[in-house]
Amino acid sequence: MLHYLTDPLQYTFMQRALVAVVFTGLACGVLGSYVVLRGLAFIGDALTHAVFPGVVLAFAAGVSILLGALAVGAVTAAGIAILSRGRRVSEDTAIGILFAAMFALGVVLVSSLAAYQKDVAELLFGNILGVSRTDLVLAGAATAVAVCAVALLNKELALIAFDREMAEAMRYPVFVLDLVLLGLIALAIVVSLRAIGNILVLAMLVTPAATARLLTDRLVTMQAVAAAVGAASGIAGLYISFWWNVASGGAVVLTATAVFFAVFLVQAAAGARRPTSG
Amino acid sequence: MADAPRAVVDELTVAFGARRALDRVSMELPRGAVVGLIGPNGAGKTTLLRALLGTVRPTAGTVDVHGTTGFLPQLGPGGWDFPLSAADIALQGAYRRAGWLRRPAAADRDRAAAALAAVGMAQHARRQVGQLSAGQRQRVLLARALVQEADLLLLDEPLSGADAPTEAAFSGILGRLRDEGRTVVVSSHDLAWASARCDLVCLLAGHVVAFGPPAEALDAACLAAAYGGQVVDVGGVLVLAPEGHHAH
Ligand SMILES: Nc1ncnc2c1ncn2[C@@H]1O[C@H](COP(=O)(O)OP(=O)(O)OP(=O)(O)O)[C@@H](O)[C@H]1O
Ligand SMILES: [Mg+2]
Repeated sequence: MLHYLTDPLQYTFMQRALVAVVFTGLACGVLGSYVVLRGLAFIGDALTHAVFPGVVLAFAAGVSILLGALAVGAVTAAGIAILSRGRRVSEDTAIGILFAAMFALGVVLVSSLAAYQKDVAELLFGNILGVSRTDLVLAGAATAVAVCAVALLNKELALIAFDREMAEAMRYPVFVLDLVLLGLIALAIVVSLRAIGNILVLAMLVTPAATARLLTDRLVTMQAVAAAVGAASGIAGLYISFWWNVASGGAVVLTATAVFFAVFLVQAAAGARRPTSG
Repeated sequence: MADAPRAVVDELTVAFGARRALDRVSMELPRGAVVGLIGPNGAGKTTLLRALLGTVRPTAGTVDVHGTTGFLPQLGPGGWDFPLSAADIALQGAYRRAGWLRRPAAADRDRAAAALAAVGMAQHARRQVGQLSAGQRQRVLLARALVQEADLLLLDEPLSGADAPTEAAFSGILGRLRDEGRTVVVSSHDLAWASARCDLVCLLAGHVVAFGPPAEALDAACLAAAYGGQVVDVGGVLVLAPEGHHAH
């Protein structure tokens, strides 16, 4: 039986992919907690789509797609924050304008670079065979930055998420910290691009964190549980993808979704029992 | 100077577009005083508190505050389902003392626990805030404001949703803060509470209608001017009658 677990490890691509999904689980779990608690799922979705032209350009230029995504993600995060600063353009509207435009730019780029059209699927859905050493180093560095930044700024980020007016009254630079949070979410997305792919990253940001919220009422515990659920779903999903020969990103996301529903149903069942037994 | 005013507001005007929320408001807030901020909806109470905090910029005039500020927001936070306990929220008041990148010190944890005890929330300290009643949440926000240990404490309608014991405990806390030389500004719609518990009252209606001891600032003529209606004396308590209901 054990060979089901050990056999895939003979392959270098599988070793790299496993490390990549663990990075994804950690970064997305920690940042995803804020995505869930602040209701930023739409922003998260927007950022994942917005990095697409960066991915395409980097791919065409032959540099790591993570670098391209990082550059474009940072610009888009800043754009959303700046556009939504005024009262006339709501955050939702700013995001709607920017992310559709950025994704359209990506589509235009792909269509004008005829040679790359067959690679579009890989860019959108990820490819575990394609995790290079450079990708892994970049993803590891990005994960370390994202997790450390949240650890260091957690009390301020939590205060702003919970009570923005109080944070302003306490003279925190709320706008700058919003930018930092968006930038860190962009970083978590970049970490996930190779293994999970552009379209499905949002699930890694939202689903493990939502699962963790069901399990705990403490912020730091929630972040840790979300990271653990994300990493475990990533590993399990990759094995499923290896043995059943299905797309890795889809397998990982469906595993995370299955964990969410399992926890949800167990709690619903326990909740339904409680009033009659107690 | 020990007896210099805690805050000086001079000809303060705050306009949102063409509408003036505050029009040439001037006042001095002394040290060691409980100041009631009274006025109808839209009178500019919240705007004045924000100007004192520095989160609203004056259109004209100046606001000078000597010392640190603490705050209890009127509407409070939106998302009470946030995974933080009452103790976590109270501790937020100590974040600026702790500084960036650091966790609050043990002394601040003790302060948070003491503040929760002072507002009668000690037994709920570990509960997630979403599980608390509206009045209990308000008390947690009051505890957080106390933990700030500010020289100038700005409380925006802290008594909304408070029961009688909470109100009594609150008044006791205000007395203690005043004795420590702190200045507390409390906006409220409760005229009886303000006349009984405040050292000074500012009656606001876009501009300062009256500022002084409650007996002077809350007399019938001033109230009528601020609320634009009739003031009726019902058994020693001043009550505002809606316009058109003239007591003949
Ligand atoms: N951010 C804002 N933008 C535009 N107008 C504002 C803003 N904040 C306040 N106002 C206006 O300023 C005026 C004063 O509002 P403020 O909130 O200070 O009143 P208030 O005395 O606190 O009222 P309440 O008793 O209802 O809390 C109102 O007419 C309001 O419409
Ligand atoms: Mg108000």
